[in-house]
Parts: sequence; structure tokens; C-alpha cells
Amino acid sequence: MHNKREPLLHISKRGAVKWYSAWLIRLAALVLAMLVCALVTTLTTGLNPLQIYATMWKGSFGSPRKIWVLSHDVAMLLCVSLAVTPAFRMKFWNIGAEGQTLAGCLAAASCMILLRNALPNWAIICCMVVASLLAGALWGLIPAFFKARWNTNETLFTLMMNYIATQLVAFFCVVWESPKGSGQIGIINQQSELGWLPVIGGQRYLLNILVVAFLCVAMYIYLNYSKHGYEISVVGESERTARYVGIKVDRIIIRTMVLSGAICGIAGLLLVGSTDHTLTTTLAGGNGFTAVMVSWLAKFNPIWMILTSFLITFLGRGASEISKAFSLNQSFADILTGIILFFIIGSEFFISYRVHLRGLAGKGAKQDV
Amino acid sequence: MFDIVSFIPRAVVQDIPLLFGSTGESLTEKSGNLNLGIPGVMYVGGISGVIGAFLYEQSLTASGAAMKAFPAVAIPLCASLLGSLIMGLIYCFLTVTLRANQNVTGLALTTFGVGIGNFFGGSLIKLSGSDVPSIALSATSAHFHRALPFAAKLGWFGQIFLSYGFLAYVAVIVSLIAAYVLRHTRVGLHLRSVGESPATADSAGISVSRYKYVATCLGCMIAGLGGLYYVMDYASGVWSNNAFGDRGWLAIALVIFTIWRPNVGVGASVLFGGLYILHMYIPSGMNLAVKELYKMLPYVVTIIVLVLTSMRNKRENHPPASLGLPYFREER
Amino acid sequence: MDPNQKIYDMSVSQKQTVEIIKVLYRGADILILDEPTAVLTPQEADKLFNVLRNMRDDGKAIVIITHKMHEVESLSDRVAVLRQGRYIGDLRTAETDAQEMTNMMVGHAVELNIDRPDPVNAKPRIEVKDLTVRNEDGILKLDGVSFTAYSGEILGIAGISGCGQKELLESIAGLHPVERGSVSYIEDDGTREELIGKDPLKIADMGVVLSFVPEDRLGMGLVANMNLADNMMLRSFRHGRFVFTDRRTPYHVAENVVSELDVATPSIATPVRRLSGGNVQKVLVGREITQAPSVLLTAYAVRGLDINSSYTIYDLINRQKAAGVAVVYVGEDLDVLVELADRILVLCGGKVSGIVDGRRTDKRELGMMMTQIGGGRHA
Repeated sequence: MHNKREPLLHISKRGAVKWYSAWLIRLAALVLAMLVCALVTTLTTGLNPLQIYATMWKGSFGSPRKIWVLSHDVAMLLCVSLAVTPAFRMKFWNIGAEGQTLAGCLAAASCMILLRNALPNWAIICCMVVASLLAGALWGLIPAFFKARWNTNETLFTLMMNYIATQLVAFFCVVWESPKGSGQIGIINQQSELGWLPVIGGQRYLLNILVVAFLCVAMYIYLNYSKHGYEISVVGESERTARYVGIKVDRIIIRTMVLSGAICGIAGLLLVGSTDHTLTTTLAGGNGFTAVMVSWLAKFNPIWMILTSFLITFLGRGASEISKAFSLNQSFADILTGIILFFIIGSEFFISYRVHLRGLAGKGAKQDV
Repeated sequence: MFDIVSFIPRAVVQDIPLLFGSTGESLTEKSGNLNLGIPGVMYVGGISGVIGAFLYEQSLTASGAAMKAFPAVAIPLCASLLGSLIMGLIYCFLTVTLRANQNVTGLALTTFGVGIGNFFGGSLIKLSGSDVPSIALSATSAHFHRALPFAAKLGWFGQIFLSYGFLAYVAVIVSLIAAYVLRHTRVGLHLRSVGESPATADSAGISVSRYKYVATCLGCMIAGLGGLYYVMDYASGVWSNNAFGDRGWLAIALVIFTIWRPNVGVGASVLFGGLYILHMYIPSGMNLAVKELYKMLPYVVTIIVLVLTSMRNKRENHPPASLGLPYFREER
Repeated sequence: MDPNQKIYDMSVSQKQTVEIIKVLYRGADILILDEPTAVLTPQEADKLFNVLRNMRDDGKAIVIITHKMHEVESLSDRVAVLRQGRYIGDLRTAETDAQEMTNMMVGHAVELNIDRPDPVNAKPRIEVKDLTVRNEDGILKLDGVSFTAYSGEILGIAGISGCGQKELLESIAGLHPVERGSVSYIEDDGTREELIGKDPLKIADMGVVLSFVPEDRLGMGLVANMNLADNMMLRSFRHGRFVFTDRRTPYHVAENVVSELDVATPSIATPVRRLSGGNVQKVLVGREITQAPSVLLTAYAVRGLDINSSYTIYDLINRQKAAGVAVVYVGEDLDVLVELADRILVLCGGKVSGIVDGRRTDKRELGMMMTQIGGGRHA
């Protein structure tokens, strides 16, 4: 019977979805997004889309050096994404990863500069490790404390902490500037290489990649197999249930954010001690914000995050290559990233909900028991 | 020497974009949508206006006609509103119709919007194939900039209150109207109920989706005007990439500071604007390093405000109860 | 009614009055009420029914959704019966009775009686003395409440919605801060343990096995998005080796609960939010009972459940009682309380209005006690 009051499109929540259907839908969204991106690129720049994609591929895989750089960028993005994941699982929106990383950078650089004449190299490196862990942890602790105690909005608090960290770094950049008046610190300890983390196998990025790979596996185990990970899931899914079984939510919030900040600190340590050997306000490279996307896209699963961070880095490097090759603006990458994100975000809808057309009988909708 | 009479107008000029942004976001948040894409929207609002003005100036050069005041103002204005509206529609489609996560959508929108702003800002010349060395829309911007004619004659009063371009006054008027509508009209009441408890509003027959769409799109359009003001008035028509900076985030912080009351924003935004430029007025001698610390001030103040409002914890001062959550009727 | 009073400051029946005023103000001709008397005393329900009868006589159309047979009989002119989303039939109220309607609701003949065996070997188990509790807004919710709960007995708690039942159970379970008073757990040999000031974890560590089935099943008692095994682990996740969780034991517990309580679920790995209300409650109660508690606190255990599940729950509670558990049953359906509980404690405005014998009292007396301390002097 055709009911006049029934809406044209009726939406209902789906029951269980097979995991491969979900990924198929996401893949379809990705393909669709790439098509739209190609369209947009051609319209605005008049270039052949296939040419563009070839250039993107070259940007990441064009040479062995480029592959190493790609792997390094993926590793650093993955590191920060791993850091924010426990917080996100707890529904604590930590968008302060940028600041937490910078805090780690600052701590590591301070050790390199202040201790350079006081301690032997291995001691400096130990100090750097401890200092960057503590600095990142502190930067994560402060918003967590206020959230736990007074339910202060963590999104804005962590956001503001980013800018405070940036200005602190700017301050020290002036204080330690070299040469005088340049406002920049330059390469730290260039001659003595004091505090420079060891280079493994002659490849300067290998250390970072190995550390992050280890962190990835460790985080996966931590979140899925440990008691802490279970507590984080319960607190994130239902805070009231957590309290009901005696989980101390305040303590979990603080503990998890300390962990989150500490891992960002490690990212900072790697950036200063291994990659760049300098300190600037843009060292973290916006990874703090991108990490939010990476983590969310991977449904907060560390193993999937390897894929999503690779995807986003690939897009970023590809778009840079396009900009260079066709003398377009660097920001083109952001536009493409935005479009792809919109499609993937939108595809979640089709995974969770089913659309019924008026008049069609619901096809084998699984009965909820 | 700290010159208040010259400081205040500069602070006000800084605050107008913040005021536009926070009024727009207040409206949006009152409907239950947390739009973290406002920074991107403001960039798009700015660049759309620039594109509109640029195309108008190009068409004038081509036809050789003189610039008329009304189109010089109207075209960028409409372009800006259109650009912001499109951003708002994207956000609403994803979060209201497709019920996506608002935080992630907002951040994606910011990435997208900032990208669009910077991309077109850098490449507009090349894309439109024209022959000018840079985008300097000083002619159009002069129309935006034009203050009331008698302002200069009124001494300090004129300087503090009357020396701004027309968009500044628009900002104040829009904020006051928004506050009035929210508190004292039926439409405002419906909007607030949608934000507090969409299930209740729905069962009273209020269309939750429609209110969210209208509030968010309107909010985005208002916020976009902030970007337009920045480029056309403050920056005198010169677009530099990333010059707008992080003002969008400060606008979002301002929303909380004003407890979702746009009328409070009129005063509070001056405070924020002042803090933003305070570092230029502190006589700290030659110490450039300390100046960097002063730049922290707006952010520190925001944090203090955040903490204080959360400590006081009066129920009326809480955010709208359904902020950040999608509404699905069957799950009521 | 004070038009400036904020909704969150009102009692539940005041809120309901506001809703009715809102509807009348908008000039409605059709009024649909969904379980309106769940939160009212018998006397308040009578007042509501008078208002509804007046509105009917005024020409308005009224649809009232209820599961209480006596309401259908006393108020309605016609009744339509639904079962599992299907329309079963439509009767004139005058021509049918409670048994026939219940049979239509369930699909087969149903026994409408609840067993009530006498308590055996009752020993004092929980002694509450002078319990005084404020809620987070600082309002006094419990004022000098004292009573004793015995093992092997069902103590019913009656009261209008919001008169302190939630705070009472949560305080005993260690989930609510207490301003003054004591709650003692008394072992068989007479040793006492003070429960106030301890959270659920500490209480469990003391060796006191206290189970609490809260009113909010998916929001508090269970994690809606987790599957059955992970939910079973809520009480036992600390028992794994070193830092790792043991997932196998909760899995077996889940399998046991599913088979013993006949929980309808596609698998153990299904998220509990996909189960129907009755099955959710079975999972929750099943988990709590698996602990082999000595005290079982339940809040509105059968609210929103279909008849079959309700009777399963009553049966479970009676079995716990027979096993010597001290059961505290907070309920809103006075008919059930009067049939199920051995003793009934009535709360009124946070104070104990009276404790009566379940076998000798009736709804009217309970209703009077719910609105006035001691129930007044009327018959």
C-alpha cells in the first residue's frame, strides 16, 4: 500500500555490517573522490588527469631518496597519530598534538644546547630522551587535569596550548639564535654532532622508522590486550558504566593524556635529534592536525593507521610534486586532501545507515532480535 | 608611550573579524553543530570576495569604464556570501544529512578552506591569465575602507568610534540582532531548543534539520564576512597567503568566552583584538625574544576564561546540550 | 505553577503537568500519552484520569499507551492490542478482561501470578543508619534513612519518581557521596564492615559481593557498543595476568548466561545495543548474578520489558532470594511490589514513610504513604 505520509527516502540504521562491505564502501568513496579531484584539477589547471596522477606517483616513488623521504614522513605522521589515538578512544579530543610535539622538540634541543659542554654524548642523549618524554607528557597533562577536575572543554584547551608552545619555541629561537640577529637557531652542534641520535645502517631515516614501527605494534597491543586499553575503551564508550564498575575516570584521563603527550614528545625527540638537528616553530609540520584525520580514518586502530598515514602522506607529497611540476600553488594539496576527506567522511553514512525508497519493500533487512 | 586613542581603533580593527566569526559560530553552535571549519570558512569568505573584486576590476580594465561605488562593494560582498554559503552547505550535508562526526568534518573543512584560500590567492593571476604583477585591489578596497566623512573632525571620539569602514558597523549590528533574535523571538526559541534537545524539538513539530541547516549556513555566511573585512578593509585589498593566521580559532574561543551571547561578543572581541596586538605596544626595549612571549597573551587569556567558566558551572552557562552530536530520530 | 521555574528544578509530576499545559496551550485536538502513570502515585494517576475524562467529554481524542491492565479497564472506551509491531485486534473495553488482553499481547495463555515463598533463615545483612545524601546540585535527597535488609528476603522500595531511590541504591553500592550516616554489611558470624566511603572496587576487595542492576541498562550497567563477552568482563577485567586481560573466562560466562537465561542473540560477539530490551536486561542481570552475590540491588528491573521477560526476571529474583541473597527491589509498579516483596519500604521526600508487610498491604495504602509521611489518617 502506498502511504502518502511515508517520506520519499527513509533512513534506518543498519544492523551488523560485514567488515569487508565496510571497506568496499570506503574504497568506492576513495575512487569517487579521486575522480572528482581529477575533474577539479583539470578544470582549474587544464592538465590531463592521468599526467597528474603519474606526477603524484613520481613524487613519492620517483627515486630511492624519495622513497626514503616518503617512509620518513609516513613514520613521523604515524608517530603523532599513534600518540593521539588512546586519547581519541577515550573520546578526549586531543588536538594539541602539535604543541605536545613542539614541547618535546624544545626539551630535546635544550639538552643539546645547554649540556653540550657539560656531559658526554651518551649522557646528553639520555637526558634528551627523558626530557622530551617529560615535556610532552606535561603538555598533555595540563589540559587533562582541568578536564578531569572541572570538565573544561579539552578541544579548545589543547588547541590553545599549541599556540603557547609555538610562542615558547619562538622565544627560545631568539634567545639561542645563531648567528646573532637571524632569529634562527640553525643546525645545532654541527661540528661535534653532540646529541645527534645515531644513524643506523648508513640510512639517516632508518632509526625513526624503526622506533615508530615498534611504537605501532606496542600501541596495538596496549589498546587491545591490556587492562589499561580495556579501561580506556570503557571510559570512551560510556563514562557512567566506567564509574559503575569502579574505574577511576579522572585517573584514566590523566594517565592516558600523559601517555599521549609523551609519545608526541618522542616524535619531537626524533625530529630534533635525528631528522633536522634544529629547532623552529614549524618543525612539527602540522602533523598534529593531520594526525586527527589519520587516526579517525583508521577507526583508531594502529594497524590500519599505517595505511591511512601512508595515504595522506602520499597525497601530500604527490600534490607538492604537482605544484612544483606545473608551477601551481603548494596549497593545492590541501584542496585535494579536503575533497578526499569529505568523501570518506560521507561514506561512513552508507556504512552505518540504509536508505529505503518509498514503495520498495525493505530488502531482507536483518531483524534485530 | 601607550597611546590609548590610537590603540583602541587598532584593537577594534583586529576584533571585527573575530566578532563576525564568533557571532556566526554562536548561531551555529546554538543549533547543536560544532563547526570547527570556521577558520576555513573565513579564508573562503575572504578569497571569494577577492575573486569577485578581481574579476570586477579586470572587467573594468577591459572595458575601460570607471569604478562605481555600489558594484565595487556589492560584488565582493555577494561573492563572499556565496563562497561561505557553499562551505556551510558542505558542512551541513555531511553532518546533518549524513550524520558524520562533526569534529572531523570541521577539521577537514578547515584544511580545505585554508587550501582554497591560499591556492587561489597565490594562483589567481596565473589562472585568469591576466597581466598584473600582484593582486592589489586597492581601488575596491578603498570603498570598503571609507569611513564616515565627518569622523576626522570629531577628534578622539571620531577616532575611537567613527573611523571604521562600513563592515565594522555591520558586524556590530549583526551581532546585536543575532543576540536579540536568540533571546526574544520565537524563531530563536526554536533554535535554542533544537540545540538543547533535538528530540524534544522534533516531537513539538520543529524541523530539526531545517533549523540546523539555516543556522549553520547563516553562521558561515556571517563568519565569511570576517574574512572579507580582513582582506578588503584591514589589508587594503592585498591578499597574502596565511596572513589571516589563526584568527579563526580565536573566534571559536571567543564563542565560549561570550557564553554563546553575541551581544557580549561586541565588547569581548575588542579585548581579544587588543590582546592580539598588545605585543607591539609593550615597551620592552630591544628584547625581541620577550616580544614572542607577549604574543601568547590572547591564548593564555582564552585558557583562563575556559577554566573559569568550567569552574563556575552554572547550568545556564553550559554549552547547548546536544553540541557535537548528530540527531537521528529513530534513536530518540 | 510558577512560570519562571526552570524545568530541571521540578518534580516529575510537575513536569508532566507542564507537558499537558503545553499541549492544551497549543490547542491540540488529539492527545497521545505514552505510559503517563509510570511515575505517578495512584492518587496522582486518578487526578490525571479525571483530567483526561474531562478532555474526552470536551470532544478531544485521546490515545493512551499503557501496559497496565487496570488502567485500560478503568479509563478506556476501546483498546487496540499490538504485539511485536503487528496489530492484533481491537476490542471494546467493556467486553473484555485483563486475562484476554494479556493473552493477545503475548500470543498464548500466560500465568499472571508471581510466586512468593516465605523467607527462610533470614539474617540481617545490610544495616542502613541515618543515611543522609545530597545530589550534585546540593539538594537533600535522603534524610536520615534507616532500615535493615535481611538475607533470603525481598525488600521492596516504593516512592514517587525522584524521591531518593536512585541515590539510596547508589550510596549503598558506593557510587554516590554520602553526607552523613552509615551502611554496614553484616556477615553471618556477626562481623560488620562499613561500606560508606568505599567505591565499588574497594567493596569487592573487602570480600563483599554486592551486585547492582541499575535503572539505566545500556547507559550504565553495560557498554552498549561492546559485545557480550566484553560486557561480562566489566566486573572481572582486573583478573588477567600481569597487564593483560583474560578474555576467555568472560567468554564462557557469556555463553553460560545465554544458554541458562535463554538470551536471544545472533552470537556472543554481537554488540549488546542490538539486543531487544528484555534480552539486554537478561544479560545484565545474568552477569550480576554470576558473581554469586550476597546482596542484590535492582532498580526498575522490569521497566519497559515485555510480559515474558518480566516474569523471567521475577523468577530470577525469587531464585536469588531462595539462595539466601538479600534482595532490594526498587519498583514503580505497585501491583507487582505488592505481589513480589516480603516487606515494602516507602520513601517520601527522602525520608522513610513507613515499612509494611508485603502480604498485608495494598496499593492505596502505599500510595498514601508515598505522598505523606506515615500515610495520613485516612482509611
